[in-house]
Amino acid sequence: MPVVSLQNVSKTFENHVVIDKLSLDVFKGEFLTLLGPSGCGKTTVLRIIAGLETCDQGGIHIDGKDHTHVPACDRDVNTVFQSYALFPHMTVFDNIAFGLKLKKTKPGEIKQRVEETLALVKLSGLGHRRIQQLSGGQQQRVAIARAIVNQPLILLLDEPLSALDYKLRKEMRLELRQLHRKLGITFVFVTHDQEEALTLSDRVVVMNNGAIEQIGPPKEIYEEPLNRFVAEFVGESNLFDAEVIKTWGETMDIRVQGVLKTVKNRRGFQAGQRVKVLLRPEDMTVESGKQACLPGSFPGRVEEMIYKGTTVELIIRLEDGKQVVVLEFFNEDAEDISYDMGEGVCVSWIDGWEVVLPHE
Amino acid sequence: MKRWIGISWLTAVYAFLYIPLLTLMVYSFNQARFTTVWKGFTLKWYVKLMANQQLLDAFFNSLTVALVASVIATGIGTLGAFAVSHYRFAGRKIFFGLIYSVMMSPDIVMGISLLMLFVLLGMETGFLTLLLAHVTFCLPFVMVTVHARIRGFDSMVVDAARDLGAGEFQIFFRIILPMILPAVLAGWLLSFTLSLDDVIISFFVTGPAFEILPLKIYSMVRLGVKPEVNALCTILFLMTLAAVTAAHFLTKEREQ
Ligand SMILES: Nc1ncnc2c1ncn2[C@@H]1O[C@H](COP(=O)(O)OP(=O)(O)O)[C@@H](O)[C@H]1O
Ligand SMILES: [Mg+2]
Repeated sequence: MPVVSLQNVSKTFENHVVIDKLSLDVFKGEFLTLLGPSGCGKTTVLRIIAGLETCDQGGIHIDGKDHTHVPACDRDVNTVFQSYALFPHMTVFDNIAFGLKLKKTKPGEIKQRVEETLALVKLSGLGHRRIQQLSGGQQQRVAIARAIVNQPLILLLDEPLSALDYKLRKEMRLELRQLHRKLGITFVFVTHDQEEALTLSDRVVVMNNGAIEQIGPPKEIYEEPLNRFVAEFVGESNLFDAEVIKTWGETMDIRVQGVLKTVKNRRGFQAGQRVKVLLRPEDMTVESGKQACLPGSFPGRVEEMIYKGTTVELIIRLEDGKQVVVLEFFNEDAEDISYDMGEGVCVSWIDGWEVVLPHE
Repeated sequence: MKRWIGISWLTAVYAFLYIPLLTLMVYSFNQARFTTVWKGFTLKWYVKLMANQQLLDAFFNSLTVALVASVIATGIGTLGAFAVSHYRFAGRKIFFGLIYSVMMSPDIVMGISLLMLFVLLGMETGFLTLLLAHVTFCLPFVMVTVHARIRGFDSMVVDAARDLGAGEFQIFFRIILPMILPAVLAGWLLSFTLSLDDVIISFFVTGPAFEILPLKIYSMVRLGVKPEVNALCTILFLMTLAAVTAAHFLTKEREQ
């Protein structure tokens, strides 16, 4: 049984449909991420789960019980707000103790639980500080502590890392994962950063314009995107226009860039249909173009070479003007990866690593 | 050169503002009874003032009205400001705009309209009508002061409190009120001085049975300015100054 279940939820703000018949199940103990461009309705979904926003249509069940009309204060859900929203007139301790005090917890237990939580978020000894005396990273930890001290059924996190600098963000990512494992609470996390979504989550929900485009584990979202939006939003991609020539069983022939290729046909495409072929930069290969290109590969010229430490990113212009990004890994047995600007090359991909999408 | 012009200009402005007040204060310590000639320092007018039972009664009445009216206005105004910034309802902006129009309307208009209302309602002018009138003209000042403060902080804080289990009552008393307290106190002090100083509106809405200080002074000076009045005005001015200064620091404090 899902711990949160949204059924056909719609929300309109000032005649603008923000959430459009969205259904979503969140399972107990999982780390679920809502990923999508800014303005696509992620925060609104979170606020509907928290009860801070009502839905115009549809309903919400939490822990199997109808919560559509249950106010925020009576839901077993706590939120880490994007702006932290800490209480500026209280100390760190009082901020964290706020929820427990409202639940009439005994002072002794409050003290113990707040201290434990402070230790958990690595802020031991800072309980007496005022909020204004904390750094951004520390405020972030207080915001997390203030929510988890209540041991809610579900923890909602709205872009909690977006205000931190790069290094701190990576550190906090790891800590969030550890926290999730330690607490066993269901996490619903919101981000517009695909890397964050892929590294943190058990499942990713890709959203666009108030609707869900795809739900799945990070690997599936990345390797088997359902459509062009997901493919382009999650990770870098090269998309080629193609046409199906002939199909048989799970295989088909397609014409890409004037070249005939045999690929898998998992989605029942028909001969004559137009499709898109998606290739991740790391799934493409480059050969020196001193001889004529082999059949099945595309001739092109190197426009840019970007050194990235363990990889090299090549920007290649194909003969018809299309630009392709290829990621080459350094490995020990291969000779140096080095190309001259404007050098002729042949681009191909490892058979079977392509994803064929419907043409939209 | 430029600096000198600036300093002289500033001196002129402050002289313009404060010479009348200073004159009054200085003469409250003057020996002479009728002339404006300086005859030496004395405190006798202050002593005399203390013996004038009528004046003291009026002063006490004024303080009572100012205190009660400002407390009521602060209570209602604070809740009003909270409602305007916190709940979405139809006509919210118009409602708030109307507050300003009350603030800006001339005292004489307010006075006459309030008097008409009281007459229509068949109320006898006296303490109650005076109190209601003072609450009315203090209210907008409290609302505007408190509203500015509420607008100044992150509204997500309220959502956070609700998320942590706080109901409306707890949100107001544990989150909103502590955060806006300086503005509430400032609004209260402002109301207190406004009420204490008011002449025109009070003139219309109070009755002969309930005399207040500004009106008493007004009737006294019609027969010529007595040095006791100077002394009284000095005391009044210092009280107002203290209240306004306190209000100023309360609104400034914690803003940075
Ligand atoms: N209270 C509100 N009133 C009006 N429009 C809103 C409100 N909250 C959100 N919106 C609109 O709804 C859309 C989705 O917002 P949001 O859920 O915050 O997106 P995200 O978190 O994905 O960036 C945006 O276009 C935003 O302007
Ligand atoms: Mg958002």
